[in-house]
This record gives sequence, structure tokens and C-alpha cells, in this order.
Amino acid sequence: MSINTSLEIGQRALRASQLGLTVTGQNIANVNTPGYSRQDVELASSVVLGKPQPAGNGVDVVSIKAFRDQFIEGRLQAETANTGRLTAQQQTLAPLEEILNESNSGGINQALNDFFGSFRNLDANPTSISLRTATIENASDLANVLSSTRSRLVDARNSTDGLLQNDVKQVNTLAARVAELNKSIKSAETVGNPTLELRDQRNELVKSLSEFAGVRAIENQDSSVSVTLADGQALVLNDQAFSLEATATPPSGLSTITLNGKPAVIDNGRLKGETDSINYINSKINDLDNFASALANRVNTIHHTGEDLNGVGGGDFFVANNGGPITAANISVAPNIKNNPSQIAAAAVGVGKGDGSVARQLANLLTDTSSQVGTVTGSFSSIYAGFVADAGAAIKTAQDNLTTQQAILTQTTEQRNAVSGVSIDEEAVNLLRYQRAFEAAARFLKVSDEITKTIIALGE
Amino acid sequence: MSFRVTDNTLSTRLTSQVNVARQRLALAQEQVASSKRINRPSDDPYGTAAVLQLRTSQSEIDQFSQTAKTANTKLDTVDNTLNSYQTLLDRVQTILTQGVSDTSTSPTRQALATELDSISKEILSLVNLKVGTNYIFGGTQQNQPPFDPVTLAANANPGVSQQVQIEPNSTPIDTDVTANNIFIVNNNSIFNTLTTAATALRGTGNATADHNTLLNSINELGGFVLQSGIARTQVGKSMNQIENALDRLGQTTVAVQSNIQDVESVDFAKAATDLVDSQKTLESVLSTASKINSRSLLDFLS
Repeated sequence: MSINTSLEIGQRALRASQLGLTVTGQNIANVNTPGYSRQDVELASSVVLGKPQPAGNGVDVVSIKAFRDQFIEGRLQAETANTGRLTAQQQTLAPLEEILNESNSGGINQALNDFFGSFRNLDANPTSISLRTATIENASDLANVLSSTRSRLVDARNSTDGLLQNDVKQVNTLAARVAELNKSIKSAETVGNPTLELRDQRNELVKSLSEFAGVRAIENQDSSVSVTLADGQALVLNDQAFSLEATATPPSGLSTITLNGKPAVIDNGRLKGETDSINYINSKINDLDNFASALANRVNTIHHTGEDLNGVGGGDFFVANNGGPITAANISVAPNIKNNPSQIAAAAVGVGKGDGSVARQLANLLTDTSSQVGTVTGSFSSIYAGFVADAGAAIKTAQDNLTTQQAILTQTTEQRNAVSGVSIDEEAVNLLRYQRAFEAAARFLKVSDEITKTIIALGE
Repeated sequence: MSFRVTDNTLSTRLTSQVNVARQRLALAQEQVASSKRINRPSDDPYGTAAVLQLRTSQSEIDQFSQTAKTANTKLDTVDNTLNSYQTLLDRVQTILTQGVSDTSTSPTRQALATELDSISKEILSLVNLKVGTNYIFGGTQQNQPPFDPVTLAANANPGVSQQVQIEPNSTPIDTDVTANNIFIVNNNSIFNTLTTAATALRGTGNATADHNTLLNSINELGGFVLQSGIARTQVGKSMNQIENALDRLGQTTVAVQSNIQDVESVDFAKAATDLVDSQKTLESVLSTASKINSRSLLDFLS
């Protein structure tokens, strides 16, 4: 072994230890950086090939490696997508809770009871103008609360749609950044620059993309990541990103999401959760419309069989205020009845004004179990209670699913942390290790230096 | 290699544990504060639906009770009026008996005839009695006088008894008796009988015929007394039905209210225990937080 070799070994050892310290510092600095994977210096004892040599040639820094488990990363991505979907669903369904909450008073149930109850009063005193006026007021209240509930549902749906449009923009921004990083990583690799941090960043972005759009990501041979939607349509290909578009579509004006002009297939992530919520709220709006129309129809049918205080046959009690078919939005008391309470047909035809049998039939309608709304048969009171229960169950399911999912995500995150997370204690040990190694290497260099000096002194 | 527990593992886990504990605490606090188990539909969707339906039942019961009470007031008036009518009929009976007796003199008969006329007017005012704008014996034709105040002719289009439903799923009950079923017997009105009797008392010149007329009037009067008795029985039956119905409605209210309580209200003892429990859980989670985050190896290296 030559003197030079000793110095060389010492120098390499110093460099390796210093690098170890740097990497340890990097780990400690990034203990809280999201998506950061802890790094370590990969060392190997160096040999000089081809030359027979009794001792080795010191240490080589093979590479700096990051601890990252592709399987766990994949799972984390999938669970993040689920969490995104369920979170969005829970957030966007939550407003229904307040809209349909009748745990105190007010609301559709109360209005239904009051409306039909006023016909019960009319049964006992069919000619009373004040009771007739009260009936009309209760009917108007019912119509109003139906339409205000509907418009609050529409608001909830539209604000979910607004959220969806924002999230589409977010997806496009993220996709563009992934494409950008694909490019940076490729060019860094070509010139041999380190790419670990860039990869961590890209990983984190892909995870965010999953959270929003439930994407699939595959790492290619050339180190780029391809991101696709559920049906394989590419969102990111090499250094190119494709934009999702949310376009308002008539007649509802709600957004449809397209990618390159084709409908985007999104089966997970926030966007899916928001779409699901929009569909659910839409179905509730539809249910409420059917409810209003069935209610108006049955009331009108019975009202037609009666006779008013002027001996004239009963007309429509409820009408659509804009002419079309009756929905929860346009249901209102017929203007002629509103202006003239004597036109409520409480009596059966030809029996006399003091008869209240038609009012009685109307009052009994509340709990008459043969009413039909959409595909549901029952009493108006039970159908509405079912409507609220359905919404409550949907919200509860969303909440429960989210709670479970959050536990799964926490667990998966823990697994990732177990592999990739930084432990300050470990780094403290590394710090000691590399510090001692550095000190020893410096000592070795000093000894080598002294030997060199001794040899030089020999020649004097 | 054993499972690595890193700094972030600890903090992630801690955050989620604190969240869970806080959620539990918030839920328990809400239940205690509102004393309700169901504060929004998602707390118990089917319980919510049950409560809504029970509230509907309650509102229905309240309405029925109100209707029954209104009907009862009306029946009360009808009954009182019939009572007055019967008193008047008693008097008519006395007058006719007196008039038909051989000992009564002509001036007495004239006086009795005059009294009959005034009784006839009193009965007319009973027959056409109005509460508010409604004739109580008008039935479904309550807006028209049952007997014409001038001609004393019965309304050509008599109504039928007004009916009202006073309990869920029950047949309606009558809330009155119409004039034609009280004041007309065998197509003959009480007024007709009274007028005929008064004429006979005043004397038509044929004493035997008058005597027979009066006897016939007494006979007819018997029919009216019987009819008024039947009417009062009908009224009494309706009032009885109302009383029973109100009783049942009252019992149902108690049952419905206790059902609502069962479904909606919180078990206070349990809620209070939950509150204390969740508070303790949160405190212990927070105290472990201070322990696990206090030291690392770095603290022991100098």
C-alpha cells in the first residue's frame, strides 16, 4: 500500500462521513415535509480492479437512496382517492341536514299537519269564513315551505357544482405540474443530477391528483409517470398534460366533465364524490316535485267533487303559478280561492252549505295510506317522513364511511411513515455515527500524514 | 425488522385520536345540552321519521279534540234548546187539557188561546235559533231558517244532520237534529197543531167539533213530546260518543307523547356519563401527547 493510497482512503472516508452527515441533516430538515422519503447514503468498500492488492481501497459512495415502497405508495394513493371522494360527499351532503331538519318545529311536516288540520276545523264549521281564510293561509304556507325547501336544495346542488368546477381547475393545475416534473426529472437524470426530491414532489402531486380525480399512475422506463383516468384516458403523458373541462349543460346548467372532448370517466376522488352528491340532491329535488304534484292532484281531485258556499262545483285548489305541471317550485293556491275563501268546496254537491264532508275527506288525506308519490305508496305524512329518513340515512352513511376511511388512511399513512418517515432518534444515532466516523477518518489522515512526514524526514 | 415508529407516525396518530375524542365530547355535550338524542336527521334517520309521524299523530289528535269540543258545544246548545222546547210543550199540554175540560169558560179559553199564540212564537224563536250566523236546527242547510218566520211553513229543502269526524278512522257522528225531524210529525208541524188548537179554543161556533179538534191536538201533542224525546236521546248519544272519544284521544296523547320521548329524548344518565367519559378520554389523550413529544435521543446527547 502506498502512502498516496492511505491519503486517498482517508480522504474518501472523510467525504463519505461528511455526505452521511449532510444526508442526516437533510432528513432532519424534512422531518415534517409531506411526501418526503427519508434518505440514506449507500456505501460500499472500494476495490481496485485488476491490481492484486493486499488491502482494500477505502469507501465508495454508491448512491443516495430514498426509502420508498411502491406497493405502499400505491395503496396510499388509492386510499387518498377514497378519502377524497368520501370527504367531498360528506361535505356536500351536510347542508341537506339543516334543510330537512325538523327536530324543533317549522318545516314541511308541520306545514302538512297544519294544512290538513285546517280542513278538520272546517269539517266542524264548514261555513265559517275565518276558518276558510285560515285554511287558505295554511295552504299558502305549505306551498311556500315546499318551494323554499326546493330552492334550498337547488342552492345546495349548485354550490356543489361550483365546488366541482373549482376542483376541475385544481386537477388541471396539478396535472400540469406533474408533466413539468416529468420533464425536470428526465433532464436531471440525463445529466446525472439527483432526482430524489423531485420524485418525492411528483409523488405528492400524483397523490393529490388521486384525491381529486381518483387517477391511476404508472411509472415508465424513462422515469416519467403516466397519469390516466379510470378508462385509461391520459391526463399526463410524459411532459404533456391534458385538461379536464367542466361545461355547463342544459337544461339544469350543471357541469359535465370532459377530457379531450370525450366524457371523462372519473370513478373516485373528490370529483366523483361531488358528482354523486349532485345526483343524490337531484333525486331529492325530483322526489319533492313528485310529492308536491301528487299532493296537489289528490287535493284537487277531492276538491272537484265538492261544492262551495255559492253552490258552485269546486275547481282546482292548487295550481302551478307559472302554468306548467305542478312541482314543488311552482305549487300555489288557486288565485280565485285565495281572493275568495267562499270558493273552498267543503260541502258535498246538493247537500247544503253546512255540510263538511268534502273538507273531512281532505282532512283525512294526511293519513290516508293510498297516496302514491313516484313509486312509493303510503300516506303523505309517512311518505314525507320517509323522504327525510332517506336523506338522513344518506348523510349518516357518508359520515360513517368517512370515519372508517379516515382510519384506513391514517393506518396506511402510518405504514408509509414506517418505511419512508424520518425518525429524529434514528437520525440522532446517524449523526453520532457519521460524526465519530468523520473524527476517526480525520485521525487516520493525521496518522498517514505523520507517516509521510517520517518518510520525508528519512531522506534529510 | 420491527415496525418503525417515526415522529410523524406519532403526530398523525395523536391528531386523529384527539379528533375522535373531541368528536365524542361534542356529541355527548350536545345530547346533554339539548336533552335530545336526535338533533338532526342523520343522528337516527329512522328515529327521525318515527318522530315526524308521531308528531303528525299528535297534531291529528289535537285537531280531533278541538273538533270534538266544538261539536260538543253545539250539541249542548241543541240540548238546552230542546229542553226549553219540552218545557213549552208541557205548558201546551196543560193549556189543552184545561181547554178541553167542560168546566172552562169562554173567557178562560180566549186567554188560553192567546197564551198558545205566544207559546207558538216562543217555539218559533227556538226553532229558528241562530248561533253566530248558523241556524242550529238547519243541519246542512244551516244558513236558512228551518221555518219561515211569517208563513210558518217548513223549509222546502230541509237539510240533513251535520256530521263531523271526531276520531281517526271512525265514522262521523251527527252534531245536531234537523228541524223537520223534531217539529214535524206525520207531515204536521207543531205550529199547525198550535194554530188549530188556538182556533178551536177561540171557538168556531161548533162546540162539539172544537172539542174534537182539541182532543185531536192533545193527541198530536203526544207525538211531538215523543219526537222531542227521541231528538234529545240522539243528542245525548252524540255527546256520549264525544265524551268517550275525548277520553280515548287523551289516552292516545299520553301514549304518543311517551313514544316521542322514547325515540327522541336522550337517556340523561347515560348522556351525562358519556360526557364525563369522553372528557376523561380527551384529557388522557392530551396528557399522553405531552409525554410522547417531550423527549428524543437528542436530549440525552451532550
